[in-house]
Amino acid sequence: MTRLFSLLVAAVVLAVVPSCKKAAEFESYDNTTERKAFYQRYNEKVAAELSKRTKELQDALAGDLPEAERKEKQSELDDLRRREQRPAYFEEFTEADLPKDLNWETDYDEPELGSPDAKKGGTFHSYIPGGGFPPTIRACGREANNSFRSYHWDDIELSLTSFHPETGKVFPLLADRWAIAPDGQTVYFHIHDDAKWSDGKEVTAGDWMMTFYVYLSDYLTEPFYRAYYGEQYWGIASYGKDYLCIRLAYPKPLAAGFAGFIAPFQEDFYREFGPDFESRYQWRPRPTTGAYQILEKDIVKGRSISLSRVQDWWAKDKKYFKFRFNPDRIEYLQVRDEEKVFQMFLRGDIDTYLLGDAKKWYEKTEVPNVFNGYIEKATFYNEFPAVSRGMYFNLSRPLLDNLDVRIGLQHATNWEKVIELDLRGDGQRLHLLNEGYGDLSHPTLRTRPFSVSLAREAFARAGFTEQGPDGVLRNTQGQRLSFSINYARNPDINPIMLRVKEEALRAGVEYKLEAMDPTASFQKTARKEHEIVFSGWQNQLPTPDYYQQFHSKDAYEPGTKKPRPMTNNINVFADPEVDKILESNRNARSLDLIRDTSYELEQIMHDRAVWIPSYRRAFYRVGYWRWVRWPETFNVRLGNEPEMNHVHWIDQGIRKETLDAMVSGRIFPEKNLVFDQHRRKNP
Amino acid sequence: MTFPRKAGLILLLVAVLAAVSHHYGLSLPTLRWFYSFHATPEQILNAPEQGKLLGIFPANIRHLRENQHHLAGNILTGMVGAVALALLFYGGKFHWNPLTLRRLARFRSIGRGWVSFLLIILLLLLAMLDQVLVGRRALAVKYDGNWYFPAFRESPYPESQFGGAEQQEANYRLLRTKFRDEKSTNRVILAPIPWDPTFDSDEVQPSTLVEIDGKLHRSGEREPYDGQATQYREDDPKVAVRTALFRKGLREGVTSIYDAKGDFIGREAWKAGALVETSVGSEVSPASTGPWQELVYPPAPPSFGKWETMHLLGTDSKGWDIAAGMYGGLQVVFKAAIFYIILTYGIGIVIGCLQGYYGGWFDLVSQRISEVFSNVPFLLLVMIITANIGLDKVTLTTILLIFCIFSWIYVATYLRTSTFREKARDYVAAARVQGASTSRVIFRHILPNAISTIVTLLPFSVAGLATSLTALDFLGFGLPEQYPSWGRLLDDGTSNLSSPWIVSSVFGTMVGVLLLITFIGEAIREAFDPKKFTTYQ
Repeated sequence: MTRLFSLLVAAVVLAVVPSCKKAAEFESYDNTTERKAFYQRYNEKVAAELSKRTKELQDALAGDLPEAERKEKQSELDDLRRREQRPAYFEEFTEADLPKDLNWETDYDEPELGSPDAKKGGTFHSYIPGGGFPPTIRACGREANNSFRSYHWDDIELSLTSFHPETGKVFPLLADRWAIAPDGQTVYFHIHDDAKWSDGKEVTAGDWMMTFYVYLSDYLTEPFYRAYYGEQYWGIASYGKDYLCIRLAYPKPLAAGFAGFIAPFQEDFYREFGPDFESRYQWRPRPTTGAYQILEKDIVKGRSISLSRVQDWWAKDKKYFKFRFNPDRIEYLQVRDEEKVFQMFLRGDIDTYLLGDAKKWYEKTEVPNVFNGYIEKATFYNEFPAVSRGMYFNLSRPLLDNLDVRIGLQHATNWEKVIELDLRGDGQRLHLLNEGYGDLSHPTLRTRPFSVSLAREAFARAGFTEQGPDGVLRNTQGQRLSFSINYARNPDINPIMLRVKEEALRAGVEYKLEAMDPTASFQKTARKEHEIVFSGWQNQLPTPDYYQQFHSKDAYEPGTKKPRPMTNNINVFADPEVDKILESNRNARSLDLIRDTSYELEQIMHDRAVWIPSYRRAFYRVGYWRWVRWPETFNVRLGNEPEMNHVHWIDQGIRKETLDAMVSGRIFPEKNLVFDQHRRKNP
Repeated sequence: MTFPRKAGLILLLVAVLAAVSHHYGLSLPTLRWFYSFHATPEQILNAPEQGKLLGIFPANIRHLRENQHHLAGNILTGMVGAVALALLFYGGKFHWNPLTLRRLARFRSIGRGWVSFLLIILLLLLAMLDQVLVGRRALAVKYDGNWYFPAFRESPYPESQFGGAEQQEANYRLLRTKFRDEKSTNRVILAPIPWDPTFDSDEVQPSTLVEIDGKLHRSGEREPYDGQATQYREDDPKVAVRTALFRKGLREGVTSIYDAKGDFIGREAWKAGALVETSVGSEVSPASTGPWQELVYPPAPPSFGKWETMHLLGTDSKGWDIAAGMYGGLQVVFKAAIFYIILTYGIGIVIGCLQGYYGGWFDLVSQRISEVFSNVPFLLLVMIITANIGLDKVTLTTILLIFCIFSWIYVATYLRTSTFREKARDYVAAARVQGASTSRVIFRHILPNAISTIVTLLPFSVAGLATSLTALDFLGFGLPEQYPSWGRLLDDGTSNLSSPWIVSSVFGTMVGVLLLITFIGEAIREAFDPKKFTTYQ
């Protein structure tokens, strides 16, 4: 018996000991000289590419060219010429080198964010979205773009400038002023004199040099950053410690916002950035310019990860920050099952919960904790670019290349019933590809409604007149109106697709449902092997983008009829005439031009019936325990989640009062608040 | 008349009726199955005009594919007819084996089993009534003095046939409401359950709330109402006037107000039935509104109002009628059971007998093969296969074939053992000495004596089949959505436990049917128990 016991002990010890191993130690590394060499090498590379392309263009222009192509090549050449005046990507200057005629501007006149009533302190309890523990706390590199990243990076770290979440104007964060050169794409920034990292070091222009170095370095596994920073920027220059200049590849409206929208990597911290970057920085807590940092002791793998408020944060009394980032600590628990998260919320282990699901909102929160006022509910009408959720046609497929068939399908798809029944009337019909951009979105365009007679009329125009015994229309060649819809399998979407299928048969259309694993569905769509795909893009602020989705260069492989894989043009839409509008929309220098071309593009896409817009919600709604307090207006206008702008706070007094009340049985008035100051009266 | 002749007569009737009704474009319950083997539209489109049938005979494949259901139907009815004729001709000299008669008598004497058997037969007959009992197509419509029978026709009537405007298929439930509201002489007779088992969802059902002492109540309930309620315009009951939250029968919190077109115009705040604050004036005159109504979203509880909106067992979360779904599921189980038994037992009996009778190398090799098969994790394999073909392309036949590939082994094993035992008996030797052929020895002499073990197995394997089908659907690897399924309903019910009518309907039906089958199984085992007739020493 004793022997058995000692064996058991030995086995347990053996099993435990290896897991007690200390984290791998890394040798110290200094990339300073390597980095300097990289700057030079990269500059040379850019210069060589420039002169090569210039020569190509010149040769091409010397020959015989159609007028349209000549114009296009000429404008590219002009751009290259302008770039050749300042070809270096990385430049280091002193403050004295700054151009003298700069027109410095700033904007401290926008409204404050958050509420003056906000109290600091307390712990806010939340959960890690998706149920898995984040694979890393790095901001870039393998697996860094996980669902937890926005919680510790996008919502926390400060960039030079950004767009004010109430007004949408460019407002200062780490920079306190900026100057846009006359070309509309070169922007100079002055870093705020008080700006400091959480480890006490000053924020300098060198931090952004490091940022660009990291993003362009070959040590990063993801090619995305190299491509993006290489194509969208012409370069970065430091002017001493306090000034820097970022050059965009295209002149843009709101250039100061676009150029300044980069959060820095601290030069000292990333000095060890090298070939083993990913493993070295996997769990290394970084200094931050933002309000919260992750401490090493707060990473409890498999259980929770917490953010702590930076002691003596440099911006804590600054205008746009003083009422935000209030709790001392934010704890994100790992809970595998979404249903369990909801139960934990109802028990009070988690402070807030997004109640988008109609069943949770109307039925599952009809519980005593809500009736007694311990949990409050709020609906907030926000303005945020709508997800362009809908059914996209692959125009390279037979039948779908017929406009009348597509128009018929738009009339044959009953999103109205889906909204009424599956979304319980809480959604509204989506009409545009880019909705929710204020006056940049077409104000009057309406998509085609469900109508059996209009659908059948359109199908008849396309030659589909005969109805088979299965109720599906066919033409004289025996082709049937049968299409498969590809979509990512999801318990919320499945019943909706079944409804769409059922209703379409009334108009003589058969939809075959092809539910796939999200990754497989995405790949199939990216290879353009779908007929119709149900999906959507989360459109980004501040301006709509049509170029990626519809430009003909992304439609077909050059010179063939083979759809080009791995592009965002999932409609396989190609029209050289429309390309011109797309280009002028993307490269527009004024908001007026963006607006005009956007209206024009929406109208074209409506006339060509390239997709079936589905639904959107004009609000988000949330349940929260009453100790979580929000400003008078609840939240900022331009946000799609209640916590992302950190305007809430924890009231310790109310917390104690509530917990006592739950014991003593005292009740508070039930609260179900609606904040509809941003609701469109007549959508 | 002998038993085979009776059976032959019925079969002949079935075959003739099926063929004739198809010829006249009729769709009779159950008989329509014979002509339901259409080629898929892709198969027709992909078929070449000039091709080779089975790779040998030149033929117009396209034409064949287009007429596949006629051909298949004719072949099937022809086969049934041939069997029927054979039974009629050769069944005259049939005598029941006295042993079998005694067993049957004994089975009949076991009350519980016999009643269960009669109940199952009743269920089978009900299931065969098909669209007469369950379906959205009306049994009969009287319109402008003419009678129409939509449920019994192959091609559907468009709405325009009955005074509608569109070419879509008529919605007979709405038609019935319309005719009644018009108080015309036109009539619609619906099936007792006027819903299709799948792809037939109901609209949102408003249920009117009643006011007692100034507080709203659900009709027939004592407790005041908690939840959302909506008021509609009196002149247009589709346009909402206001939506409000009620607590203990009184308005509380936010009330949203809509204009004449149903667009949102503003809101009011209420507290315990009193208006606190409003963002609109008195733009909506209260006289024009109807009563407060609760909107019942699916899953909707059982309701017994009008025939066309009735849901005997409520609806599931998709808005599909549960009673219809249960009925459809039962039909699938019966259909599956019949083919499963024929296939599995056919293969199992033949192979088992051969293994037992021949023994030696044949036995050794085939035993090893069945060992390999029986060690494959069956459910997992089904999942892999269905995931690979794609759930949408799976048919009942696919699933049944996979089931059969794995389940003949058990039948074969039992039969092999008993054949082994019977082979050594004197009567087998006697038959061989008299010059009986091998097949005659096996199937006329050994099999009747060895079959009792197999017959007792039969009900239990049907029960097993029903549970496996349900389990597969429950896990999401079974039949696609166009097949009604108990498993999917069970899945829906367990994820909507707050709507107890879903899970209790499925649970009740499944337990009931499985119990009946098990009772039959027990009775058969008792009736066929060999210990009753022979003693071993």
